[in-house]
Parts: sequence; C-alpha cells; structure tokens
Amino acid sequence: MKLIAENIGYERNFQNLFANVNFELKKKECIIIRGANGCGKSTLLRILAGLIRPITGNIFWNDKSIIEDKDYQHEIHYLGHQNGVKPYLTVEENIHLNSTLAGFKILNIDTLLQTLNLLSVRNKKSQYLSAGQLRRLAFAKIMAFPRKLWILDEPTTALDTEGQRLFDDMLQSHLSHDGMAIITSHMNEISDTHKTLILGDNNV
Amino acid sequence: MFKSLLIILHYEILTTLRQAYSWLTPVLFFIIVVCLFPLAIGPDSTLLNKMAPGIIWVAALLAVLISIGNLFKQDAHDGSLDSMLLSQHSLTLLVFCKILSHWITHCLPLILISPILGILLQLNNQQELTLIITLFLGTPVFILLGAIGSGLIVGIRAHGLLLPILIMPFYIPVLIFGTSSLIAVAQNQPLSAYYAIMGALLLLSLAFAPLFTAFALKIGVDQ
Amino acid sequence: MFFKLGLDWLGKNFLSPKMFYANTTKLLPWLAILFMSFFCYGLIDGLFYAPADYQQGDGFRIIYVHVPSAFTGMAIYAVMAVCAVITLVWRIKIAAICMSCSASIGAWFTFLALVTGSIWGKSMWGTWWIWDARLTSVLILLFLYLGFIALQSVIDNQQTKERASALIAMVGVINLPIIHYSVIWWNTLHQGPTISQFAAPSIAPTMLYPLLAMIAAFLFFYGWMVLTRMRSQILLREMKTEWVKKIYE
Repeated sequence: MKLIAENIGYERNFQNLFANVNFELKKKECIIIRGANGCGKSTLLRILAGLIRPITGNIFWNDKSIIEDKDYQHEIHYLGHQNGVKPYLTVEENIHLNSTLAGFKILNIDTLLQTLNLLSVRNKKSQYLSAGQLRRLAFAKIMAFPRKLWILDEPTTALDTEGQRLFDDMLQSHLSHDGMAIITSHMNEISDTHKTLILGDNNV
Repeated sequence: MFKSLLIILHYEILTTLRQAYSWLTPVLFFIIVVCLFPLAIGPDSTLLNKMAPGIIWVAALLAVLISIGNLFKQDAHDGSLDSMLLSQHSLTLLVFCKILSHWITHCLPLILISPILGILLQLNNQQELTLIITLFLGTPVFILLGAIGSGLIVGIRAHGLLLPILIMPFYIPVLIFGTSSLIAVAQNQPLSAYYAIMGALLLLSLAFAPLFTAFALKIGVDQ
Repeated sequence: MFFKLGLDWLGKNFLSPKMFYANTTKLLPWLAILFMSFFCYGLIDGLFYAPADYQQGDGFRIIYVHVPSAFTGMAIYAVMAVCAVITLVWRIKIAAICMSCSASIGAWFTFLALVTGSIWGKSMWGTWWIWDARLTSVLILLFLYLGFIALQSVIDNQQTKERASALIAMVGVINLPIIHYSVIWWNTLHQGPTISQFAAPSIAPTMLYPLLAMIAAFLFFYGWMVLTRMRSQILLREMKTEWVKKIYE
C-alpha cells in the first residue's frame, strides 16, 4: 500500500506555484510538509486529495493513477483549513451528518464525544463553539472510522496542549496500525522523526 | 442508501430552517414586488388582471434568483463542500438533495402565498388554480437550472449579480409557458398542452441538471 | 478512415500551441484576402446592382449586413459550443483559447445584427424595435454571449475560467433550441393575424448571390480575427518558453 507523487506542479495565472514535487509514502510513514506562507502547501494537499488536478505530474495510489481510481477518495480522510462543520447544527447532528456522508454508522457516539472532550457541549450549535472545540469536532470523523491515508492541513491550529496531545496520540495510533499520513504544519510539536518536505526547496 | 439521502435531506432542511432570514427573504421579496406593481400601474382591475400572470411569474423568478446564488456558498465557506465532494455517495444525488431542500424551503412558501397575491391582482378562481399548478411545475426548473450556475461560481467571492445575468436566458421558456397558461385559462382554452410542456421541461431538468451541477461543482472547486 | 487520418493530421499540426502558431502564420494573409474580395463583391453587387425589392424598395438592402451578421453570430456560438465540449471532455488548450477569443467577436456580430435589424424595422414599420421571434431570439443570444464574457471576467484562475465558461457555453447551446422555439411560440400566441416575416420565402438569384458572398465574407473575417487573437493569446501564455523567446529576438 503506497502513495507515489511524481513531478507534481501547479501554477496560478501563469505564475508557477510549485514544481517538481516528488515523494513516496509507505505504510506506517508520515510526511510533514513545511514551507513559507503562500508557497502552496494547502493547494498541494488538495491535489493529493484529488480535489484539484495538477498542471503537471501524477499521483499513484497502489500503482493506479488517482484520476482513474474512483475509490481513492473513499480511502482517505481529508481535513482542510476549514472544519467541515455546519454552524447551525449541533455537535451531535454534525457528527451524524458527516458520518452519513462518509457512509459510516457510528455505534457509540458517547465514547467518541468523551475522547474528544466534547461531551459537555453535545447539544450546542457549533456556531457557539470555540475554535479549539471546532477543530476537535473536525477530528470526530477521523477518529470514528478508520481510513488508510490521512491528509491533514494544519491539524493542530487553535488546539490547546490537551488537544495537541490528543492529536499526537491519534496520529501515533494510526501510524502504528499501518496507516499513512500527510500533514502540513508550522508547529514543531510534531515529532521530528517523520519525513519532511519543504516546498520551495523540494527536499525530502 | 436511500435512508442516508433522507438523513442528509433532513439536515439540509434543518440547517435552512434554523436561519429564518434565508428562507423568509425570498417570500417577503415576492410579496413586496407584486405589491409594487399596482402602485406603479394604477388600480384598474381589468389592466391588473391582464398583467397579473406576467407580474407574478417575474416576481417569483426574481425571488428565486436572489437566493439561488448562495446555494453552495455556506458549504464552500465552512468546508462541508469538501465533505460532499469526497463522500461515499454520488455527488449528483447529494446535489439533488440540496436542490430539493432548497425548493422545499424557498419555493413552497412562494407557491402557498401565490393565491393571496393572485387575489390582489384580480385573478379569477380558475386562474388561481392554474397559477399554483404551473408554479409547482416551474419553480423546480428555476432552481435546477440555477444550481448549475451556482455550482460554477462557488469559488468566486464577490460575484454580485453574475448568476442572474448568467441564468436568466434559460428561465425564459418556463416564464413564457407559465404566463401563457394563465392567459389561456382566462380565455377558456384547454391547458393540457401547457401542463405537458412544463412537465417535459421539469423532467428534462430533473434528469440533467443535478448531473451538470455536480460537474460544475468539480470545476468551480478547482481553485 | 479518412476521418481518422484527417484528425491525426489536425492533431499533429494544430494541437500544441507551438505548432498551431507556426502553421497558422501563412493562413492569415489568405483569410484577409478572401474576406476583402468577398466583402467587396457582396457589398458592391448588393448595394448597387441587385434589383430593388418590389415591396420594400431600396430599404431592403440592409439585409446584406443584417442576415450575414445574424448568421455569423449564431455560427460563432456553434463553434464555441463545439470548442466547449472539446475543452471539457479532452481538456485541449487550443479549443479553450478558441472559445474565449471567439466570444467577443460573436457578441459584436450579434449586436450588429440587432442594430441593423432595428434600423430595418424603422424603415419597414416605423418603430425602432419590434418584439418578433427573430429579433427576440437574437437578443437572447446576445445575453448568452454577455453572460459568457461576464463569467470569464470574474474568474481569476485560468483552468477554472476555461472549464466553467465551457460548461456555461454547452448548457447555453443545449437550451438555445428550447428558448428559440418557446419564443416563436410566444410570438404566434401574442401576434394578431398580421404576421411579419423578414426574409421572403423565395429570393431571386440576383439578390441571393451577394447575400451568400457577404455571409462568406463575414465568416472569413471571423476566421481572420479569431486566429489573430488566438495567436496573441498563445504568445502570452507561452511567454516563458524557448520558441517564443526566439521569435522576439
């Protein structure tokens, strides 16, 4: 099970955003993408999630191009800058909606809310939650059902130390169970033992 | 799968209903526009009766246009559009759920209030019934076609009046047949042809618009 | 088989921006010459030598500008629609460039058709505008063009711009017959027993040949203009490549 990114390049309005991005990701591996603001980290993640088509290059999941592989998007968890949380629905309703969208039935929502430390606000509309709580709510679908590849854009923004520890535990557990992850971050809390890709230099 | 779609539909409607201003505004706009016309053209009953079909249909069209541009705006803003794109379910079906919920929350009130507005514009009873039926057949087409445009502009922040300009030519057939049916019923002519054509337009839109909207969303998100 | 050979030849010589640019350089002067010759013949023959219409006198001569511009406006939209399908299905850049460049040319021709139609209406019925089926359809076509151009101007990202406008052009061309027939129907519904037709059903050959010549002239003009614009667009996009730099050395 592996992901290969080959010569990915993207440009915006005839200006090169990044070019010649190459990496390979195998089981139990995590790659951290760093770079200055505006260098295209989020765009690269959206390309890897299949939401945007790159100008040059191709991405292969298990040796099949993700453009042809219709099932690729069902094997990933993508978390962007936004939380994917509807402000006018409560925490519980949001979890229910997201799991329905992903085609998964959550068996024990209480334990899930407990782990995310959202039990006390389960019936609060998400527009009234703090940024950290919203981010933890966004983790709900990642925790609720396992998928092989995680593509996460700045997952630890707005999280306090509790939340960051929660995320680290989640990530470690995922990797140890043969998972793979691609993360952008500008925080150094995430262990430096993972692979790093710096956009702009294109070193792995 | 059908159950999942029902759940998604339920949450869509719930989200819209919890933001009262979003579905109340089109109805109020509809009422105000219709009431402006007698003030503008005078209270002459025969004249109002003659112009009523056009006035009500144009007002309904405009009321739909002001809200359809924001069909996917909130989803794009809070990230749930990405969830829809990456979902297990076919994007076409999810789009259909969204369109259906939009029609239920935005157009059903219009249809329910239209008879009262018909009275204000001196429509007779037969015309009232035809008005309800044709609005029922025509407003879904407005939303279905508007959704395609709305999917295309999903990434554009300040699109202003772009969507009405883009979509209005496509509304013309429904407008023509909707208003002509009201005129025909006043002249005691048979209505089966009008219902048939409007039904055909509805079925055609139902078959193709969600598909095109899904395609448009994939294009619009590619930002 | 010839179709496939033809497509291969087209693909090899016109698909990539570089080849397209190189192979159209010689075409341009020819298109200009053809346009000028047909235009001159059509205008001179149509304005001076064709016999006056028995019903409308000399006023009908505006047909030599009105009909060709309406025809060209519609033909350009058809070309845009074909390019739109090619852009969406096969993602070919040249088709997208052709579509974007044709839009304003088509819009101007449609506008010209409306203005000349309105002038004709003034000389025939004394009003500057009449809501008949033909003029109304041309007006709606103009709206479709303007919507397309508006969409292009609002979207920043090049890729999205091409594909989004391609989709709207495609949806437009699918809806166009429906709109056209509903307008014709609307017109017959609201029209009294007096029906006005623009072109006579059978037209004398001496009147027809200049008309056909003008249509050909306008089409050559379109070809000339759109190729010129496409070439500038290609140079702009491929600004950083070697072959463009060589041209400007």
